[in-house]
Amino acid sequence: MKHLSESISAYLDGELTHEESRRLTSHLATCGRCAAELEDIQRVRAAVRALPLLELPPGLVPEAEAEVVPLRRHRGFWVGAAAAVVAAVIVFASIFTTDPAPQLTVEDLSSRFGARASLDPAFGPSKVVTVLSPEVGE
Amino acid sequence: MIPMVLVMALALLTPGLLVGDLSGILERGGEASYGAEQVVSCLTPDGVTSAILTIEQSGGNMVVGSDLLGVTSFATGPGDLTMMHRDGSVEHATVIGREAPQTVPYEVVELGGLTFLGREATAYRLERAGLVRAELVLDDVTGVVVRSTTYGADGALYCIHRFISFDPGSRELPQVTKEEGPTLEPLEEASGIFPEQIAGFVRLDEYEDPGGLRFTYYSDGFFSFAVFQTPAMVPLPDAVLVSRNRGDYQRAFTAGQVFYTWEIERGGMALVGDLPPDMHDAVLDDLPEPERPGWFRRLWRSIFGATSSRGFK
Repeated sequence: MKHLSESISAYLDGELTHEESRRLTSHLATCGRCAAELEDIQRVRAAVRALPLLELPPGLVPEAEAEVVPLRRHRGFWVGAAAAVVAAVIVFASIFTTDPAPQLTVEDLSSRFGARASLDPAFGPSKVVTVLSPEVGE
Repeated sequence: MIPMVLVMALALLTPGLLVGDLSGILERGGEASYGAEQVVSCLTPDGVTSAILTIEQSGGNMVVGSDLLGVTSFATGPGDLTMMHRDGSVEHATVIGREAPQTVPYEVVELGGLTFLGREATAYRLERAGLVRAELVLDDVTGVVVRSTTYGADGALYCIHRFISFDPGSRELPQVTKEEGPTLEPLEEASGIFPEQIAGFVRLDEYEDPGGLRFTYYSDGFFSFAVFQTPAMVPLPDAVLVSRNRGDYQRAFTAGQVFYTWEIERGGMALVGDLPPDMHDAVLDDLPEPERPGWFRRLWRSIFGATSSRGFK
């Protein structure tokens, strides 16, 4: 028996003439292998059509006008999960951390060093602390 | 014959009179009353830094006027320093010191008399481990250091502090508005974070202030520096990135001081001092090396900021 595999895709795409369609239908009624192949192709097509459509990044294929189908279920899940993590971190931090220390500056360091250095026996006019100046790197 | 040759060689190598006590020589000037203008100029690896300071001292307190950007003047007394900014803000620190260097690794050589700014003065040379580290000129009457020159290990000039005018005599110091703040007392027991000795410098007092800042003070009797452990790395204006084999450091020089800051896993470290550049590597090698905090710690800090360093080690 001659199998009509090549005609099956064309049949599903509606590309066969009336006469070709009638001949294929008659063949499918008697050929288990071609009937099974038809079923497989229909199943794959249905599965592919069920996949979500992704939005192309702008400019990737300028000539293409992709259909935008938002991934509501997937994106919603991840956004929700991220929000839950952030909320948990904030709650945890607010409960268990102390107040943030104020940002220290180089002058905080200079003043402490200068105060302690002034107690040294070697302290004198040549040891006075100078703060960071614009002349640095001149 | 041989001993005679040795004595002559020693005399040539060490001209001048060896005098003992460095702190004894330097302390006398702290009691004097005077006004002066001082020029400071330093040759650093990152360029020349310079400043002109007006100094007034009386009763153990000193008020220094500065031409440096942002700070008009600062006042310092024993254990006390107040910086006054042009915008009216005040930075103030008071510390109590307990320890002083027990042994000072300097030989003090008297080089002889000279005239400085029309006054009788005496020059001294400070040597450490056979290297000339400083030359000081002290006014004979007051004991004030009127010129100080410091050197690197190769004999290269590091800094000159030089009076360009000097007016001894009693005076009333300008009033300084001080901000009330805590007095930092040395910890009874060292935390063990900071080494006892670093490159010949001895750890003296260690402090921890309420803001989570922990620091200790090192001195060799002449040069000194403080090492800080901070909750987060302290930003340095106009810093230069210094990449060493242990990691990356931020560095900046002023006229007479060097600042290093770097990041460690649990916050930041900083060094402030008057060390000549050739001493930097040896000192930094004995301190905690730079580390990049983990991503979670960085995220935490970016959300909540740095918190107290209590328990950091």
